[in-house]
Amino acid sequence: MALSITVEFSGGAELLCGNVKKHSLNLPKQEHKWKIRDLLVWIRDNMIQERPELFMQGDTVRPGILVLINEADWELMGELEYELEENDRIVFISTLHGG
Amino acid sequence: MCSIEDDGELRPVKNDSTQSLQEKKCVKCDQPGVVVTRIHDCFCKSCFQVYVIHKFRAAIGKSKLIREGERVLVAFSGGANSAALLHLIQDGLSDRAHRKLRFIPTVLHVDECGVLDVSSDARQELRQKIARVMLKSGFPAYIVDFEQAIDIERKNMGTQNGTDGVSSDSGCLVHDAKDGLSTPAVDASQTNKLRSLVGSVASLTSQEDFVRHLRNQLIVCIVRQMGFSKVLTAECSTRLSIKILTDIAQGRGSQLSLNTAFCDQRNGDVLFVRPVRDLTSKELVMYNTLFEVDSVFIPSITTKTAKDSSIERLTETFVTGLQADFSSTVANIVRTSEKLEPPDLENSQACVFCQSPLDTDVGKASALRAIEYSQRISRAGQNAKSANCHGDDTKCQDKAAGESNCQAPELARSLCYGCRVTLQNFNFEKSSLPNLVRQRSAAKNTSHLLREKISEFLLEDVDS
Repeated sequence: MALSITVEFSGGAELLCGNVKKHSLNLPKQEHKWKIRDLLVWIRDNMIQERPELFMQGDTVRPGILVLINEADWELMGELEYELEENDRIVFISTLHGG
Repeated sequence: MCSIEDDGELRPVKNDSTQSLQEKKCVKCDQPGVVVTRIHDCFCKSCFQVYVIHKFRAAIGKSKLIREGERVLVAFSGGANSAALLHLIQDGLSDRAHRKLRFIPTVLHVDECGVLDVSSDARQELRQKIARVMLKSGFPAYIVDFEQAIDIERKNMGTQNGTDGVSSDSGCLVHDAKDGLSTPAVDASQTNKLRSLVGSVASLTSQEDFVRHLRNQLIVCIVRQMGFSKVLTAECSTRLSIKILTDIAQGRGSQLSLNTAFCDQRNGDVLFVRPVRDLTSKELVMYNTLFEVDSVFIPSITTKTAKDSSIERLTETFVTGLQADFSSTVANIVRTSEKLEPPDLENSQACVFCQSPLDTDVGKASALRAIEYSQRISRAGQNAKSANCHGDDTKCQDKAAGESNCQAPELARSLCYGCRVTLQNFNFEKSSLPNLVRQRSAAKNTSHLLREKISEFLLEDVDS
């Protein structure tokens, strides 16, 4: 089933996707459940317009970019293994100097 | 000094990812946690707020530096850390604070867009955003153009020792943020001047370093103009640890403790105070998110550049990368730097640019002399070559390098090693340097000559 979530970028991370902060996404169907791991790859392939290496490093986000899942630290939610649910709000905040 | 972790061990603990933290409760109460701070400690929203406020208040309280009713300047870049600091101050002054803060803040933003390739419309827009955030705090707020940094101290001929120059009439134009919504555009010629000045600093590393010190000097100047004596800056522990390693890499090791301590006294009458230095950038950003503190994203010279575009950027990548796996990295770096002795500020001359004590008065058998020697040797070789390539004058840097060799000693004598490295690409062309460097070094040279003249009458060095 398709999944609709909100993704937000701030602290300079928004520059990588056309300077737009808030995005409503409709994730396409896939066989297993959507995890953050899959979402990151999807964002990299579909949203990031330039310099994807400034967003992702290996299979996770670049260190220095905070990830919040529904207003909570993603470290509490299982990081990459978190299974997305309908209407989740995922926020990426760059804490790096100059974004 | 005592600190919380002194009795406990701080061994690098690798974060084992996933699961273990899932559904974890706040360490203080039984509410579900929202943020992980140190290693495995997680807090709920309200305990997190208490924790952040406590760290901020403890840093200010412990130092006993700021007197009751004192007016202080809050340096506000607009970024996340600054915004959190401003919010913490606001909170500390509000009635709901446990023990009210007792100083009176004024907020200042240095508009640095002039350095960047930002259109004047975009610049105005950014400025308005920042002005709005500043005004929301309810404190008097001002904006100053970074362009003014080139001309500061025009009227302030520093006295003998750069640090005790009185600059009450340096005349920086400071805009009230209330007019921020309609401030006149900055003089384009000034912007160009600034841009070419920064552009003439060759590497991105040096440019960052140059902008940072020039900005600090501008702030110092404005603080004096306003008659204050303290500036609060929002450098968090993450920034500081990056700065520590960057400074070492840039030959500013002797200034480490000044650059990272709670209070930086190098400017004599103007103190830089760092009240959020015990909090990490993650904690501050989380604070902003949880308590809906507005911040503005400020582009910098290294925005969207590669991870290794400058030493600072590379260090940042290194530290944040390590921090992701070992969450005590930042704390360890900062705490190590705290063990360093501050340099002797009273008995040394100050660098004309960054105002830290000169570290260049070293013996013959030192690394500095060795570098100078090898530089001289290799430049001599270049000069010989350049004799053959004069046809291509525009691109030929060798000639300039040769000239700089002749002029360098005079100016370089009054710069610390780090600033020499940063400014070396100016070819030491004095006319292009910012006013303050020129005037101070002139003043210093005069006093140097004077002292040489009268040296035989002196019993001991009185210029201390």
